Amino acid sequence: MRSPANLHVDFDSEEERQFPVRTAIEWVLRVIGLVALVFLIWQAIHLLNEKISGRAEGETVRESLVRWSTQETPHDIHAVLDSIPSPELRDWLASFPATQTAMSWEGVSLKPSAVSVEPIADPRKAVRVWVAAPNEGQVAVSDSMGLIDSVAITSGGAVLNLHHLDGPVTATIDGTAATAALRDSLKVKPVLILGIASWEGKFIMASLEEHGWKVDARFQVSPKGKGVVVQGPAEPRIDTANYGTVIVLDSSAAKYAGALANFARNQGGGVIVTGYAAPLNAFQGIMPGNATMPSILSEEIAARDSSFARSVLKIAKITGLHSSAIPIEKRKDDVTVAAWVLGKGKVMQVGYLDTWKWRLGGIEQDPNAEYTLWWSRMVSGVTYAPRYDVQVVNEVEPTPMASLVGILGKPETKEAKAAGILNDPRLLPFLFGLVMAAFLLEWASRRLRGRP
Amino acid sequence: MKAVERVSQTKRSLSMVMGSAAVFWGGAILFGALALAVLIRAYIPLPAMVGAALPVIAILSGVGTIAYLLWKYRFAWKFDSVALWIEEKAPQLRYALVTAIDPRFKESSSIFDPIVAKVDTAPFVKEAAKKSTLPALGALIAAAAIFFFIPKDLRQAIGIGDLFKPGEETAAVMGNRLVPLYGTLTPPAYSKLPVQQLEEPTTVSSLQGSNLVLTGKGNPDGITVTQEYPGLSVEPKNLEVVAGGQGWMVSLAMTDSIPSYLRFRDRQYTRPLVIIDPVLDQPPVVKLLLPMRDTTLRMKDGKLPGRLELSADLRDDIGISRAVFEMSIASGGGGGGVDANYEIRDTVVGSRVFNGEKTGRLEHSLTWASLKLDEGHQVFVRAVVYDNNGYARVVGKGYSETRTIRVATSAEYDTLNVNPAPPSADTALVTLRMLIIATEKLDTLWQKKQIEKKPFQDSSQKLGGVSEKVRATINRIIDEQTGGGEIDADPRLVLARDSMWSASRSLFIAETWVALPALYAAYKAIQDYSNTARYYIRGILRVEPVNIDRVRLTGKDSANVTDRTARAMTGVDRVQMQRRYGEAVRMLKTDTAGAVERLTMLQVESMGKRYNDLARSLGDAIGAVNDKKDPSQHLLRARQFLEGNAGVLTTLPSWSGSW
Amino acid sequence: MVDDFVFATAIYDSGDWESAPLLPQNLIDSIAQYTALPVAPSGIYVALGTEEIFNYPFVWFTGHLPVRFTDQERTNLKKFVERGGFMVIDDHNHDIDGHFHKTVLEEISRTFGADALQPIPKDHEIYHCFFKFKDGPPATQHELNGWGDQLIHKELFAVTINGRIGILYSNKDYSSEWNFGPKTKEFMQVDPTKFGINMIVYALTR
Repeated sequence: MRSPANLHVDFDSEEERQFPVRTAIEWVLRVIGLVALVFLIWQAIHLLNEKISGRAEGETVRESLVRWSTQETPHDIHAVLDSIPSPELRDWLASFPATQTAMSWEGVSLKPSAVSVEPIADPRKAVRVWVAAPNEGQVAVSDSMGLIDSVAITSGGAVLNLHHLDGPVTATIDGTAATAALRDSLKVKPVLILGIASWEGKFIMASLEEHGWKVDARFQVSPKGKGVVVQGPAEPRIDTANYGTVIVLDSSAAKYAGALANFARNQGGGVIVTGYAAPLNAFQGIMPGNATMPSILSEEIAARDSSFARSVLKIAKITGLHSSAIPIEKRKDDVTVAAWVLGKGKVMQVGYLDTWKWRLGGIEQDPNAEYTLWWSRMVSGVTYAPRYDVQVVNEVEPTPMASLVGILGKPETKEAKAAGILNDPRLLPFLFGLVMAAFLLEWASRRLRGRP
Repeated sequence: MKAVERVSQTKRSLSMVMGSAAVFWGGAILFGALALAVLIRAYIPLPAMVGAALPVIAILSGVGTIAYLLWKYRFAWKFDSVALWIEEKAPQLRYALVTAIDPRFKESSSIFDPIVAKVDTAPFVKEAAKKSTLPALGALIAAAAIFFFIPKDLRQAIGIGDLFKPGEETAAVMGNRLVPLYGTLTPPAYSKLPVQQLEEPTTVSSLQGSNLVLTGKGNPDGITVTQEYPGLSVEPKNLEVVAGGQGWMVSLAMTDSIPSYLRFRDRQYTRPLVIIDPVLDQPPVVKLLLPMRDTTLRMKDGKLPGRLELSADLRDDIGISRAVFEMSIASGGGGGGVDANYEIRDTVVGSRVFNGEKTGRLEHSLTWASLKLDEGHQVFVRAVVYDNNGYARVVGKGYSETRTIRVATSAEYDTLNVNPAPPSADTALVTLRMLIIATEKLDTLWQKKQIEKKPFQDSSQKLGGVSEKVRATINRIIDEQTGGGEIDADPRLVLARDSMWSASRSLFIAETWVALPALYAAYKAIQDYSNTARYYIRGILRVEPVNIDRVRLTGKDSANVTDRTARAMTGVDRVQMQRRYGEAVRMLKTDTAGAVERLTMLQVESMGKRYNDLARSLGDAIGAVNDKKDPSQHLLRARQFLEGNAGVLTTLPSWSGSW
Repeated sequence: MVDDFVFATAIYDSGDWESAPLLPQNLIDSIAQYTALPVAPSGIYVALGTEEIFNYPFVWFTGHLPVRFTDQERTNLKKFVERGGFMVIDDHNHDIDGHFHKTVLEEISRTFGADALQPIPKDHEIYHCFFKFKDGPPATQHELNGWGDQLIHKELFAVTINGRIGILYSNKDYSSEWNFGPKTKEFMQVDPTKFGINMIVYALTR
């Protein structure tokens, strides 16, 4: 008979002999549990002394800011932005340095952009929107009524002339939105037309009036008696108190040449000299170039005879441009419209002859509208229009990228640290679980084979 | 069980059986009638009142059937009759039962009760139930199945779509009675188009003259429907809402030619606007195939040989009613200043009646001789087609182009285009003819001594004044003919002028008999001149140049300064629409239903103004909003229509002022 | 100087469009006599159905016979008027029962709508834009002599676009009244063509 002690020893040995693999596993589990426990304690102590860095990217920036402001107090934070942050988010980021947390940011995908808007001297309140953006981008321009247009940028920017703007304008490129609002407006002054009663005078006047311009005119019909048709004063006073632009049609306006020069040079008025008036000596002092008569006839006219677009009108080609004159329209190499700044004012020379043929016989779908808009634009280009301020009620951000750099400082690229797995605090619960699991398994295995 | 109790028990059972049979038959009739009413309403256009009465008729039929059968089975409720019915079923009783329940033999009941007790009446009742109730139940199930087999939307057309969901009915009445909305659209009869059933209509587009009935659930109290015309100075109309259809009903005759919308209100509730878009019956189109082109004919031996072949191609969007060739024949000619010199007669040929076909051909052939043409005559011919539009007695009419056929004169050397000559000579002729007639009349009166000397002299001198005017006209003709003295005057005109001078002088001294020969001579001379100068080749006209420098500013009169009034700015209505569009679009973020309503109003306004592109873009945008899709591109198109496209420069402008 | 004013007369497919051949010469003479407007010494005949019509914003249209426009003529006329052209349509019959009057009115209705042609008031600009005609349109000899419809028509009619006359319609038969050689005016007490100058000045300045 064996004693109980012997039995015990025997039993133990017996068991080990019976379950060699199981016993080995239990040993392994004990070792794993102990090692994990030691590492757990070490990491807890290590992390207590470690300086935490925060890093957030894209859409996680906001939630990271919340965590960094409430749960953690990182030593430094780095935001990787994929769009211009809202002013609130931007200012939140900017506030971290004041709490002893260093802040840095980067936004490689952010596109620098800018938008500005200005009024056009136009009775229908047209506006011009300037957009600056990197090439090969697509800018969506919108206002409070929604999308206005979408423009592909090829030369660093674009200019949009809008018939109407409702509230601030927003230019969005790759999620970066720049906004701007009109800060001033223009007082649109009447137009005066001088010339012999003619189709050119009739149709220019009709179109400008239909567009909304207030137009005065003096159309000479007969030198006998008072054979003149007027709208406005019979003898108009040419100054900027009364007119913003004067359109000269022909030689009958030569007597006003001195007044027109003064109107443009000293008062800032705009003068448009049309084809038949351009060759006159009286106007040579104020013209941006010379007119070549006789007029040249486009080859297309001969082919199409009476179907007109602006491109096939007869022209009095403009030559000998002053050095400061700017060719505005050309037909091949011939300048057809040119303008220059004369003193305080602007003078435009229109080389097209009988532009009315475009309105009456144009080949466009609605030549009347095209003609009207073209002449209105010409007048807008030279007219005297004093500015006055308008109140801007909306908060705007015309240069979002520049503002971001101004407030947060220059962006700097920081590689995301390859955080060692051993330093990762997220490892703590995993290690705890591992310790518990190893000991539990070892204990269960042991108990199930009857061992204490 | 005593005999009395036995009869009472049987009576109760039997009355239940017969009552059930009556109810089942009544139900079967009800469902059958309802099914029939639905089918009639769906496939046969009926006046709204008749349609609304169909369900009522069906219910009355069912109730009537029950009442009739209960009356027919009335024996089951009578004690004696039931006893007799048992006696009939159990002849072995030999009237023991009848005797037992007779009060007169009350004392003898102990004799009869055992006899009665031997007979079990339950099998008789079961037999009766089998024979009368089962067929009724079968009929009821079959009729109900047929009724419920009919699609629900057809059932809803007579207001019984949810017959067995009274809970919903109540909810509809209590809630928004404007939803759901159903409609019946009946195009005008002449169009022969089918009646349409509408469910939740948003746009009703149909021929002008159609009839629209819209109906919803619940009673009509407090529901208002107005027809409004946005952007036009047309007052809104309140439509009468009456009981009918599914509950309330409104009828609209689509008589307008302009689009409108219906606005519905039920207390605090509304529903999306319903656009009424009348489609106008287009006038028919006709193309003249023969004669193919304008022609000049030449007479041969005083006759025009051959025939005039006429042919025209006809088309209409609904149906052609009749067509005809219209001809105007101008004889005489000469282009005189007065119409009297042109004898123009109108006639129609080849009239044909059509039976509402959409296309057709009109043909006719006639001899030239039948038109009685002569040299210098002109025939204008065109085809005219009338459509089948019976609505408002406004018959559509289409015209072909007109062909002109001329008969050349013998003096004419070119058979192509010829045309009448200057008119002045003919003008003079007419006046001269009138003068001759008046002078002849006055001369006759004088010769017959039917007029006193003084009035004769006065009248003659008045005629002398007219004669002088004619002479002035002849002088003008000479001036025309000579180009202001550049060439010699035609001798016939000179003779006419001289003769008129003689005639005037004679008339002023009251010698009508001397004046008349001179007048005849002048008339003949002018007539000769007019006839020879009548025709010349068309298309080589040129206006003789004026020597501008010679006459420049030689006019005796001068003018004064005149004021011109300014033209109004155009496109003002678009500017106003643009403002309303902006309001609607801004509302999209906060009040989608309100925004959709405003966009719909704009859509109707743009339809009325024939801004078709705008109407289409707005319609697409509304559809996208309703489908919870992005409406941006549709709205952008609408905006570009109202404002024009943005002018885009991808480089900096050289001159900052222009745009 | 500006381009010359050219007096144009419409050619149309039906009818006798050239029935007043001396009228252009006469009015051109009057323009030269009373105004300093550059004017072409010869008028021109231009087909309404061609694009050529759009070279001439002032067009005279007359005749006696039925007027039936072709589709192209109708399209051109509508464009011409809507874009600012000015056409005088004168009934050479001066007869409201005549075929010209009836058919022209029908064509105007088809082209511009049933209510497009409206009478113009006596104080309209066309009656005082150069010479003054206090009583509206001057009467013609044909009216005074009681010919045609034996009526003195008190008013002219017009199709207006944005407040401006696009078609001036006359029953007064100015085509007869002014259809004579210009030299004849030298012997006249009153020049009857003066109203024609008003039509042209109106067209050129309004």
